[in-house]
Amino acid sequence: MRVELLITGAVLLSVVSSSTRATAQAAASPAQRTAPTASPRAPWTAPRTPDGRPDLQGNWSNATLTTLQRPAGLPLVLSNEQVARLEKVRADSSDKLDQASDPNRTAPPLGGDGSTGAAGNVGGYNNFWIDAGDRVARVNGEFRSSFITDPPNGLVPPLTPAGRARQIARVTRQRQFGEYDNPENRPLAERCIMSFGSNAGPPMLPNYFYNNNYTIVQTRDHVMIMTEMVHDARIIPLSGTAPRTGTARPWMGESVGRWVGDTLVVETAHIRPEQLASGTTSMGGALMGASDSLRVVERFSRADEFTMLYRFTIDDPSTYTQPWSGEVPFLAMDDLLYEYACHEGNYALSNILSGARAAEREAAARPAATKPKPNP
Amino acid sequence: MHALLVVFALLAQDTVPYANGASWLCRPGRDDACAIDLTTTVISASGGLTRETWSADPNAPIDCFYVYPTVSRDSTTYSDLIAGDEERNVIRGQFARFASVCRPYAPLYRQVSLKGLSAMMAPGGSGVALDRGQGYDDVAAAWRYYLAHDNGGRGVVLIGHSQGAMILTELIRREIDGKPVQSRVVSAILLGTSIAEPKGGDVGGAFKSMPMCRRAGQVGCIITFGSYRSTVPPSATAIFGRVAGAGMEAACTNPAALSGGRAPLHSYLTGAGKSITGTTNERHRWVNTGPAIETPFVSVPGMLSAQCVSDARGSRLDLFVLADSTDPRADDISGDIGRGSPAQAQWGMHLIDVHVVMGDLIEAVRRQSAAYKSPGATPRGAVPRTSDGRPDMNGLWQSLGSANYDVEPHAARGALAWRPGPVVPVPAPQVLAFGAVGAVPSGNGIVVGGRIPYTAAGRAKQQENQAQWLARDPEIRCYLPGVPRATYMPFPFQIFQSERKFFIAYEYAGAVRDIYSKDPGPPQVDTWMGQSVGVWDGDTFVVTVSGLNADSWFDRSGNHHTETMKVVERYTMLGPDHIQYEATIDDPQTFTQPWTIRLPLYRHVNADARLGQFKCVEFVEELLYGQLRKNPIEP
Repeated sequence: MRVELLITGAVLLSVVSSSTRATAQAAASPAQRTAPTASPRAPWTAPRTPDGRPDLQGNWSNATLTTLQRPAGLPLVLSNEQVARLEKVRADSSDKLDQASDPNRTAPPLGGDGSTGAAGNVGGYNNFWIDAGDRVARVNGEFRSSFITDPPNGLVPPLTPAGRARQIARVTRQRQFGEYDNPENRPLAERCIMSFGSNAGPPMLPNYFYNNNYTIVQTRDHVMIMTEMVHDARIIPLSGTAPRTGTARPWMGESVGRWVGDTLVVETAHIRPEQLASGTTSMGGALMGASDSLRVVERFSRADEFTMLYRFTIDDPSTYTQPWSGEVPFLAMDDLLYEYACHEGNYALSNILSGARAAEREAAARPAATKPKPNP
Repeated sequence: MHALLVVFALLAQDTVPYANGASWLCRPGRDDACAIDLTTTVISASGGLTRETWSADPNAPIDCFYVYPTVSRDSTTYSDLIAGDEERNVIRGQFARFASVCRPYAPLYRQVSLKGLSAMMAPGGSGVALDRGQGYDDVAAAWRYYLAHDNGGRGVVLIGHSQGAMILTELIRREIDGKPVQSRVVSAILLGTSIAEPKGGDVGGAFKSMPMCRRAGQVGCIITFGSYRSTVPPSATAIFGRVAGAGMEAACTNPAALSGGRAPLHSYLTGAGKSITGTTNERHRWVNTGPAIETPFVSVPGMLSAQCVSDARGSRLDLFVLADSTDPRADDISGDIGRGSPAQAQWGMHLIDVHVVMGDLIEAVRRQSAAYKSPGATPRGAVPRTSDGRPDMNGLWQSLGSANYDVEPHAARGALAWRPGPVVPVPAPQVLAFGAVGAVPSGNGIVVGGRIPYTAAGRAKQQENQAQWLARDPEIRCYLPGVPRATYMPFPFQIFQSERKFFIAYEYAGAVRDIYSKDPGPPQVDTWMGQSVGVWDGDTFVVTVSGLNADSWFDRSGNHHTETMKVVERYTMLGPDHIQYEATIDDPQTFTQPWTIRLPLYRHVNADARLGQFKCVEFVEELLYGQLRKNPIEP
């Protein structure tokens, strides 16, 4: 389901790159969605905490159409026409999925009707649940085709032979089992251990699904970032020293922050290997080759009244042929976050595993003619 | 080569790596800037010379953290991180001697250099702000590193002069004054600067809760002054001794007579004619006759005395030099800035502020250290506060006791799950292997009044739950703990409190609560952790929790509630390291009347305390899903 969503995003962007049709008049001009300017008011200045730091506190969302890596053929900065077309394709698709179901429809065929996407197939979420972001990410006034800005081609740099070997080893380790053999063979999100995608990070990226929401609380000596999915609190001491060495490798790693001027710089190391190994959608498996010395540096700064600019750099010389960096806008939310009590209501994992067992029993019970011949 | 590499590594950082020993001028137990010859020649008035040796106390019970004054002769506005003669020399004159009473810590930092200071003070310059920017950030980072890695709960004396004192003043203001770590500060010696205090008062000027030191052996206090010659009092443009603010004056404490008055000084003056910046002056002639003084320091008993004076010219330590031209000892000292020029009445004896009272400071710290060790000497009871005056509950907290086993009073019992035995019940097979590890410790209970006022049906259900504990306790399945159980789970939790937000992250199951300051209205859906709205009732934070589902329990003994439960929590700080926690529970469907639990919460006081992760979902997968594996593991 999640892989299909990624493909959907790439397809949408390819529409932009290949089509030469005029901009759809129905689409709102990107300029129209900037902050309302009905009445003149004082220029915005970044709010500050009592100790003089920029105030990053509040609820934020990083949902967007823009993907980590750049679809082929696109420049980093999209034109207003490209953006309008792209967002209209998403809006039209969403409108179509929002159509009321036919009350006289029959049950879907066994094994699903073959439709794809998060709202497709049997048992999938329908469009009501999906809140993947319907806008192209805007950074410094530019509409972006990818988060990655370095390397300039917008792609995760090639892996070194060692990185490639680690990636293959992780995939091979997973593939010695069937997809549904054990709970540990299912993705972390399905097990309610971490979010879909790389929401909690680092790097903190949208999941192209739903609940891309964060709460930030900032004290004089800590910054706490809570990711709605799965209520994961990243606790970042502002001690200014490097992450301590040790054997602990927690989920989301060990982070240490410091203020450099008006930018919060967070350095993270020691991310739990299981998290790196997960081929999550928003990272496209980009960390699957990562080594134990992976470091993520994140930079948080207020861009304007509605936006926090989030920049990240991935550095792991034994894995990537160069460090790579990206930029993601986080938009201020007025809404509350809710309790994402995933595990407590996780009927899906039981059903997925028992469904697989049922399928195995059915296969075993089929007439001999349809079964592969057992060895004598 | 290696040294160069280290230097380049330091230059390339935007924060100084204080984990690297090269970033420190002094650390205990090293051969560094503090491990030097401090031998002194004591010169009596009659010209008699006595040698006084010195040694460090590597087992000193407290630490000293020193920030040096403007000494850098680098050509840039901010100094580099390479220790030059000037940095080593100021350690010699102002700090190394303290190692006889405390373990020395002195970070290098990118200070405003002498050149930078001149430019700032020049007409048209930017003005002087030495207590912020790069220098401050470096010292603050060093202090945090020291606290996290070196302090280990020991007492510490903060020592600074001039630029160093200004930075430490700001550090105390931002990170120590009114905070839990204040209890570890034995004293702060802030010389060659101007510290505000209310006229006629000892506390409430520059610092909210740290007073001036007014008696020997007083701890948690400030020693401060700027010194001037009694014969050249400060002029109208003097640098030290005056502060802004109505009703405020600059504080002055005389280390030789903390309770006031004039007293002889125990000075350690330089014997070799070196000033604190390392420039060599003409050798001072200490004795008219006899051999030259070869030791690095001299002491001149009876020659110097001092008294704090406060008048229209400002507050300062007046230095009196006893000149007796009939004895063979010298009749004056050096250390003035701009002697004979107007600068002398501006800066006074700034260069030797520390030297003239060094022996008195060490004696003061010795007595403070002794007092600090004795119970009751540590400042206690002060509740730290946020900038808006609320009790500051930031930090890691945890309950003690066995409430999570059973909130009601209970004797120890042999297991959490049972089955019938031939004589008495015995532990159930599922828990038998745990033996004593699986037993339940006794507890006095946390329910005010002893027992929960259940309805008859409510009590019956509790007993049924207890009998079915293995199948029913949500903790076994790693479900979110609910409120109030989250508070007394055997795990710490961390409060993040700013002027705008109050947020609690619990180690157990990664549970979180965002305590809203504005009521968003009735919760839209029931949840495990509920919807919390907090208001301050004086110094008590009162949190109303609604929208709790019926699935959480109070403990491992089956105590329960329904979704009509409302919880009102009260968090009250009893001191810097304790919170009194109360929660009143109202659920008419389960209880005959509202009831209250009360328990203290304890701060994790270790400097490197961090909330761990107990994301237990993966821990229960075999329990919950093991039978659904393709090949279930044989029991």
